Amino acid sequence: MRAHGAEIIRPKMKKREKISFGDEWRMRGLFLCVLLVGVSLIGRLYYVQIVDHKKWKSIAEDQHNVFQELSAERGEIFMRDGDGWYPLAVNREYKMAYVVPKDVTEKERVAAELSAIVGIDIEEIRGKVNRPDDPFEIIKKRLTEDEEERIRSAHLTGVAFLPEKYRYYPAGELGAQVVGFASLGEDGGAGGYGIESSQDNRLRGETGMVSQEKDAGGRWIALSDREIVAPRHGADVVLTLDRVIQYETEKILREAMEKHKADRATAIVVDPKTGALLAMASLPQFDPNEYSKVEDYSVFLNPAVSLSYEPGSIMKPITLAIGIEEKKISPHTEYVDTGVVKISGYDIRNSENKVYGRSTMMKVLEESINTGVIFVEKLVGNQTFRDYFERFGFGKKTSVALPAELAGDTRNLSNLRSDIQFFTASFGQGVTVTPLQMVMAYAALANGGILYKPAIIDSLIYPDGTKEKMVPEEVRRVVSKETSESIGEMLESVVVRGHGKRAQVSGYRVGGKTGTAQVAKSNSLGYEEGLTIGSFVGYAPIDDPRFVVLVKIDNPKDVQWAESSAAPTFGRIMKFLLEYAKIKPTESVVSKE
Amino acid sequence: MQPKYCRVKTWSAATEQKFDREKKQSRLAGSVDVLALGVLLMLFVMGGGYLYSVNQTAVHGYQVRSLEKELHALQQENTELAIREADLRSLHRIEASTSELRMQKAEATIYLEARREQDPLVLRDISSRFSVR
Repeated sequence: MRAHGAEIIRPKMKKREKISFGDEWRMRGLFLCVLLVGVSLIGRLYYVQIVDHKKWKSIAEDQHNVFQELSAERGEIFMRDGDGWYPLAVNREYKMAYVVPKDVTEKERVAAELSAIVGIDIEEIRGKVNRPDDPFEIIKKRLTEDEEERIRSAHLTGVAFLPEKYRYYPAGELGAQVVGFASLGEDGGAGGYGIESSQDNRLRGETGMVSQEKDAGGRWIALSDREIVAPRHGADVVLTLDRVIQYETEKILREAMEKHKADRATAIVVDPKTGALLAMASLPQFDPNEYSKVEDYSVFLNPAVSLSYEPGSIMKPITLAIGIEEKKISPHTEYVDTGVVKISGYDIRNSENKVYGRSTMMKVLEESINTGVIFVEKLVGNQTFRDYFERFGFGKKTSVALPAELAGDTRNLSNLRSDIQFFTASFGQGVTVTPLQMVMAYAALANGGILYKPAIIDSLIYPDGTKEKMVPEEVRRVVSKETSESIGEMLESVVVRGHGKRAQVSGYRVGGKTGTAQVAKSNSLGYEEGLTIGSFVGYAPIDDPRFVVLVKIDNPKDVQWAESSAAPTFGRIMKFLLEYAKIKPTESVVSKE
Repeated sequence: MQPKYCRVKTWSAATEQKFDREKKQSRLAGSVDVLALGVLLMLFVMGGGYLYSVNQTAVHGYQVRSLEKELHALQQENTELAIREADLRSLHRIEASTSELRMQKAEATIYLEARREQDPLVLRDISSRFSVR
């Protein structure tokens, strides 16, 4: 055969020698061991990754993930200020200075500098700085800007800052009992007293949460999965209070309280057409920024709603309104005053035991004749009188959006046969009411006969920007328009000719009633000797009332009667209100020159 | 003359063909190697591109976080300024500064009536309508 190709063939290797039996088993044994190790490794991996998957995944997530609660911002509180708002309660960030003792190198210097800046005893700071195993020691919370700046400038190693949110009240004492106070926490804080308490649910909001992976350094990994539930911040509350009216009312009230050295003073200003509270002032006050330093906690209460008292003669116009509405009397109805009414073994006399003889209902109010209102109450009857009492809102809470409101006490009217209770109630003794109930009753007389629910909240602003405006709420009609007009004229006569002359405002038609009430003993029957509460409540202008004002002065030391304490204070407040609202005078201006 | 330890082998045409087929297979195997290399290279490039993209996202994520912090700081500053503004607008402060500003409280108010239909610029003093005693 002819060859097509060729190659060089190398000589073959010698045949291998056969492996011995012992060597072969060692090889197999080694192979088995490797196999066993491999299988056990695979088995373990299977167990860890498949069978125990959930457990290790959660442990890993715990290590890799960071979980943090997201605090809800507490809603803020505002009051009306012209066309805008003025903040009454806001959330403010303050810095807290802390020290990491193990990082502090110049311990003496740090202690000395910090002590000089923050005003804390150097020994106390020294004690904190000299704790080597302590990772964190607070030096001072709520640093001022100046303190923070000075600490930063000192370049102290081991000293750092943490931000903290606190509730701050820019207006200080203004409307303090209405606003109340709150402390901030992770869930929007907790409110104590005032609007901070009553609107706590709306102001607080709800916390959220975020869960995200972190790297070895503890930093969040931006790319990884993030689970987030956004916090729902609290709603902002806008009050009906007017900043200028509130300020001026408090100022006038403070001057009156200081002048008469009274124990307490309260003033309320209401818009009779809507029931909106334009001012609610109570003295003594407190600064909500320093509430923790207050020693007498009673100052936190709002006397306008949380203290009831026997109102005295300011109840008389209510009694007369009932008589006029029931058509039992008119302003010119006459009766004969003998100076005393005898009932159930008691003598009910007029103030200072005066006797007025033949008197009209107009004169009953002008001279504040007790027997005159008893006359009206007798004509009306106990049942009807009690019904109207309730219709005017006495004995029940007004449901104003403020905490700790009292209903007053009208239990003495529960027995229709007890005439003496009804007689004394007709001139405001034997029953208790709150200042707010009384001013709202007068507002009903001023606006044509409609009792409104007092409104302290003007609107709510939710975090998404939606606004909920509160609408005035009518409770019921208590008297007719005609009755309201008649009472208005009678109240005007009190100011022009009666005991309310010092409540006059030149150029305007003002009406109102004084009341000097005795103070009931707290632990026994009867009244405290020498203690009185002077009140004046009224409204203006009489033909179109724009403001209803109540002033209450507790226990004035230099005068006895309300016409010398509450009435002039009312006059000053009403003068300011009428000029502030730019209401043109309609009457002759009387100058003192 | 052939060396002692080797010899020459010759083969037939059929064997030659067999050898040719084997050579072709060998060349194909070489192409597959190139393809595999190409795929590997592509995977490498894609992997690199993916890593770059992931890195960029992470970088942007940190930038976003940094901007969020900056936004928060500005919001805080804004809030603080609003609070300071409220402090400055405090009526207590304003009233306390009236003496510095030499302001006096207006005690008497006189209302003047403007008759627009006749002369809008003329203000009539209507104080005579009030009897001042």
